[in-house]
Amino acid sequence: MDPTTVVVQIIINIVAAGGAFALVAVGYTVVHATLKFINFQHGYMVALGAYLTYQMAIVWKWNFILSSVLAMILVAALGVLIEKVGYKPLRRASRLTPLLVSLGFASILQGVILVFWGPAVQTYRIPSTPIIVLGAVITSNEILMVLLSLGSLLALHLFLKRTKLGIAMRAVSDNLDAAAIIGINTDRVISSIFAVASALAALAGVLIGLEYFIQPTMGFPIIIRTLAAVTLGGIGSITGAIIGSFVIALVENLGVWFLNPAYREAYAYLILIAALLLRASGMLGGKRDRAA
Amino acid sequence: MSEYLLHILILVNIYAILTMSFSLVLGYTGLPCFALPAFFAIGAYSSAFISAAGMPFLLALLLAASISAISAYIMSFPALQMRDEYFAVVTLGFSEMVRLAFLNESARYGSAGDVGIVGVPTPNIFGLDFSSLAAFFGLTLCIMLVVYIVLMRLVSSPYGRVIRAIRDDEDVTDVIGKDTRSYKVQVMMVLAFFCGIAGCLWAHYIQYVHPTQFTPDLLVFVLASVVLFNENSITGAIFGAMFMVAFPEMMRFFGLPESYIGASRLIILGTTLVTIILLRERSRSMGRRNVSAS
Repeated sequence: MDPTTVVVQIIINIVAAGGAFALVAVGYTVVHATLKFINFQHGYMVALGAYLTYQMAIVWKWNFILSSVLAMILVAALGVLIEKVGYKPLRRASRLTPLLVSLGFASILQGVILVFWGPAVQTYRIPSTPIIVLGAVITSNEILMVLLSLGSLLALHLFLKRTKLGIAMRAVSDNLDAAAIIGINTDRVISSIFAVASALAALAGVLIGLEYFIQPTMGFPIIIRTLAAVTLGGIGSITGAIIGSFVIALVENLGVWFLNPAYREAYAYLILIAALLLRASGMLGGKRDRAA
Repeated sequence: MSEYLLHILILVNIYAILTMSFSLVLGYTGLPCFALPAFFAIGAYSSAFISAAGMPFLLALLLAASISAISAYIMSFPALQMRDEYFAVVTLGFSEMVRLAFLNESARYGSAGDVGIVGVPTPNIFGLDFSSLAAFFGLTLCIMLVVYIVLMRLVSSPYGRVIRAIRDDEDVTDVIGKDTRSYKVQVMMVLAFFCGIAGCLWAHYIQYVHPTQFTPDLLVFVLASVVLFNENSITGAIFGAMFMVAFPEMMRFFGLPESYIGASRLIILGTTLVTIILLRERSRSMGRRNVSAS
């Protein structure tokens, strides 16, 4: 293949994938900045969004946009429920404890998906028109993915900057106790944060289902990529999460294209471990891991 | 029926080795070493290769466990640079990378890669054939008990006091002169050694080794089992393994179709993990409320 074509194709894939990852990563970052634990079940919220939309739009043949929005709402509600039941009681516990709980929820979600939809790989099978650009193929679905993800990120940015709830969210994620002192209802804001993060995750799931395929185990690789992206971009920074997501998409696509496609997930792991190690050597702690 | 029971008990014995050693690492030393599936896998694959090459079972067992321990040593260098939850994530990452490596590379070495290794020979120790279920059960039971005794002796010894000190306050333990890092490495190697043994037993029992047996689901299983009774209880770990194996199997008797067993196992594991932790935290915070002024 002509090198320009290859480059353009890779760039297109990266932008599309990166956009979807960014939605997941941004939601994850805000939750992590606020509650400070590693949330493994976030990847399965993506999966659930993908499957719910699949069920409504493809199996029951409802309107696609309606199904996606409904899926986002349902997943958001589930996120709020999970937070109330599983994480709120653990706010004063060590950071490892909610991580274990999140692994538990991830397991439950995976089991539920298996029960309802079986272990097979599914696709949305929505036809999309391919457009040729410089010899590379963009599908209209991919363009939709990019527009939706970038649009949502922009909407989120405006929401966080301009609306009262958005500003409250930033306050809470910055410093929970200080926000409580100045009178913000932290519980309600945290619930909203979970709702927004879960909704974004569900949207990412819809986009992934649109362009790629879905399977019950998809949650785990997604959360690994998210962790890698967030660690790269700086834990707690939304812009960092977005940039990190595109970097992960870049490395993954390059690795799959030029190295070994079977190790697709391994590239994200490698980056995650490398990023963590780099941070560890520069940050407090150094050679020893600390209990702080 | 008794065949089914023996099968379950064999599984319990093998898993109990995993849960007991994990209890040592997580409950007693405070190290969330999530690389456990990798150590199990390395034990299973190595012993399968060694056995298939014609070596006697005991040799395969010891070699596989040692290879696993060495991999833990190597892994400890980058992994121990992290604190708590990031240590967990890094070790989990290693576990998955090992699994992916086995998935993709074992085709090169004479097994069918994606299909896994088939036809691992049944153990033959000093001329005694262990291929019957009852014999294999006896074998796993003996090994499980040996591991139990070793671990119990370990944790009630001065060594056990040091690792508990590391769990409770690592900085203080460091200050009083204990090389905490080397204790942590050792404990990880012990974990890996025993998981390697369990892996060898597994490979020779199921006679089929495949990467899907070593996913993070296994880790959640071990976590749930260990947390169920008390993560710093070796004995509790055995009962935890028993419960977590038995519960999904009982679903079979309630008429649950075979295809849902796997999914129900995941749901049971997850629910157990979440519920136990929440209940623990509830009782812990009640105590807190009485003591502090918060």
